Amino acid sequence: MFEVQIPIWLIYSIIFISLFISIFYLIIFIQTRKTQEIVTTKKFPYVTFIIPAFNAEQFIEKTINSVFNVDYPKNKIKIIVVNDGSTDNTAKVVRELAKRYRRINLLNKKNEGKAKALNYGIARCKTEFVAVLDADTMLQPDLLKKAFALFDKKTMAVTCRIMPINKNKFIEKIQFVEYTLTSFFRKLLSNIEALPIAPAFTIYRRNFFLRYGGFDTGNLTEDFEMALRVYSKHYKIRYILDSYVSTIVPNNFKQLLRQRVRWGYGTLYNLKKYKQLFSKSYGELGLFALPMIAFGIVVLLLLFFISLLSFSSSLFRTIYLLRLGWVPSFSVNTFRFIIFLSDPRIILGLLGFGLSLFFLFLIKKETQARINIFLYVLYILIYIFLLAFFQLISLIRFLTKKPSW
Amino acid sequence: MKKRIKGEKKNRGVAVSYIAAFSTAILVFVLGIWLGNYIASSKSLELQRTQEKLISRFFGLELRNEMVKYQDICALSWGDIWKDKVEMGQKVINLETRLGKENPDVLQEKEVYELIEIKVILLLREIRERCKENFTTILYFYTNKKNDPKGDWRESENQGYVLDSIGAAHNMKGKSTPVYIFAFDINIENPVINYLKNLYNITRVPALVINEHTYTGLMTKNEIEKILEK
Repeated sequence: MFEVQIPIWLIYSIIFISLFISIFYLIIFIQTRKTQEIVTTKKFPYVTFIIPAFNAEQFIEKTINSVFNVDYPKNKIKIIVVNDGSTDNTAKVVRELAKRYRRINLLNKKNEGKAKALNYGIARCKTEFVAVLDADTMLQPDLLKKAFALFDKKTMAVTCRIMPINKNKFIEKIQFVEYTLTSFFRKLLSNIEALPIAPAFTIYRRNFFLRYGGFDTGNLTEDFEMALRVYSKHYKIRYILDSYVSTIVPNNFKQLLRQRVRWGYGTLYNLKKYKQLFSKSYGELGLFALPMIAFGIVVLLLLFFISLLSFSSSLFRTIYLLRLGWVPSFSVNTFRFIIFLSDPRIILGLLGFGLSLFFLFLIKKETQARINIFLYVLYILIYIFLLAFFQLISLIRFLTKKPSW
Repeated sequence: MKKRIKGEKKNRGVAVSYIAAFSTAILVFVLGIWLGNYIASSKSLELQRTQEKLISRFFGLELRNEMVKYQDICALSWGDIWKDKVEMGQKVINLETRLGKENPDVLQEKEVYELIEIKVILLLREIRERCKENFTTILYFYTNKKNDPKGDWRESENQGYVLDSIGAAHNMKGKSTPVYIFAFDINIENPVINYLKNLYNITRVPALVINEHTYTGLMTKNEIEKILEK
C-alpha cells in the first residue's frame, strides 16, 4: 500500500499562479471592454480563399456556399480548392459548384498533407489577402467585413471564433463549451497582442508568405507554427469574437484523442521550435501567453498523475480495509464540514470556482452562447481529466519522437 | 480600411495590469489562508468549550457522588456523557486532519481528551461493578508518527477503521452487547496515560486491550469479534 504525498508548496504555487492568471484576464477584460466597438470595413480588398480538401465531399459544398454567401462584394472573392488526393467525390462536387460560381478554381494534386496543399494554393494566388479555410468549416455572413476592419500595419493575420456545428452527442456538447470558453480568452489575448493561434479560418496578408515562406510542411500543427512565426517577425494576429465560423468537431473518443494528441504534439514541438519567443522582447506573448500555455501543460500533466495516483492509492486502501472487515459508513456533521472548508486550499479552490462562474457569466454575455451550467461543471470535473490524459499521450509521443497524423 | 484599435491593450497599460493582478492575487491568497486559519482556530476553541463542558460535568458528578455516597449511580443517565465523549473524539480527529498531527494545540487537546476518556473508563467500571451492566470496553493504542519505532502509523490507522465498524455494529439499539472503544495515542506523555500503558504492558502499536487482555498487532474485524464472543 502506498500514500500519495503532494508537496504543499507545489499545490500553493499552482493555486497562486492560476489565481494570478485569472485576475490578469479579468483586468484585461475590464480595461478593454469599455473601448470595444464593433466596426465593419468600408474598403473591400481582394481575397482568395484557399481550401485544402481531402475526402471532403460531405462538407465542401456547404463550405463554398458559405463563402459566397458572405456580406462582401462577390467579385472580390476567389476560391482555390486544393484537392489533396481525395479518393471520394470531392473533385466532382467542386467541379459542379464551379459551374455555378465562376470564381472557383480546382487544383488537383497527390495527397501530401494540409500544409503542402495550402502552399500549393498560396503559390497560385495573386490577391493581397489569402484566407485559409478548412474544408469542413462554414463562415458567418458578416465575418469578412469584420475581419478586414481589424487589419492595420502590424496585423499580419486575422482569425475568429470557431463554433461546433454538431452539438447532439455529449462529447460534441462538451466541446461546444470548450470552444466557447477558449474563444473568450483568445479575444482577451488578442487585445494584448498575444494571441498565438490561427486555426480553421484565418486571413493572412499574402506578403507574409512571400517574405517568410509558406506553411511548415513537416509540422503537425502548421497553423500554430505560422502564428508563432508571425509573432517572431514582430507582427500580430487579431481575433473576432462577435462573428464566427462553424466546423465539424470529433464526435467520438477515438477521433477526439487523435485530434488532441496531434494538437498537443504540435504545441510542444512548436514551443520548442520557437523557444526564443519566451522573452520580454515579444511583449505579452513572451511574458504571459506562452508561459501560460507551458504552465497549462505542466498543470494538466500533474493533474493527471496526481489524480491517477490518488485514485489508485484510495482504491488499494479501500480494498485492503474491506478485507480487514471495515464497513464503510458515511456521516456528515457541521464541525467536520466547517473544518473541511477551513482548509485554505478549499477556500481558494472555491474562490477560483466562483471566479470561473463569473467568467462563465461574462462569456455567455459576450458570445451570446447558451452554455448549460451542468455541462460547464462536467467540463471542469470530467473533461479536464480527459484533456490531461491527451496531454500525457502527446508528451509521450513528443519524447519518443513519434508524430502521428 | 477603418481602424478600430481603440479597444487594444497598449503596452504601458499592460505593465500596470501585471502589477495589479499580482497584488490582487497576493491579497486574495493571503486572505484565503488567513480565513482558513481563522475558521480552524475558532473551531479549536469550540473543541475546548466541549472539553470544558465535559470536565464540568465530571466535576459535578463527582460532587454529587460525594453527597449521595454513590447511592444513585445506577440511575445515572450517562448516555449524554458518552455522546459528548464521542463528539469530542470526532472533533479531535477533524482538527488533527486540518491542523496536522504534530500541531502543539492539537496534541494538547488530545491529551485532555484522553484524560477525559480515562474518567469515562473509570465511570464505566463503577457502573459495571455496582449495577451489573453488561458491556465490553476496548482500549486502542495507536501511533500517528511516521517512522515510529513503537509501530506502524498506517496499521494503527487501519485498526482505527476496523474498530469504527465494530463500534457502529455493536452499539446499534437492540443489538448485541454494547462495545465502548477508547483510543490512546502512545506518544502522549502524561503520568496517568503512561500508567495505563504500563498497566497493560503496551510497548508496540497498534495494540488493543479487550476486557483487560492485551493484543498486539493489527487485528481483523473477525479476530476481534471472536474475542468479543468469548
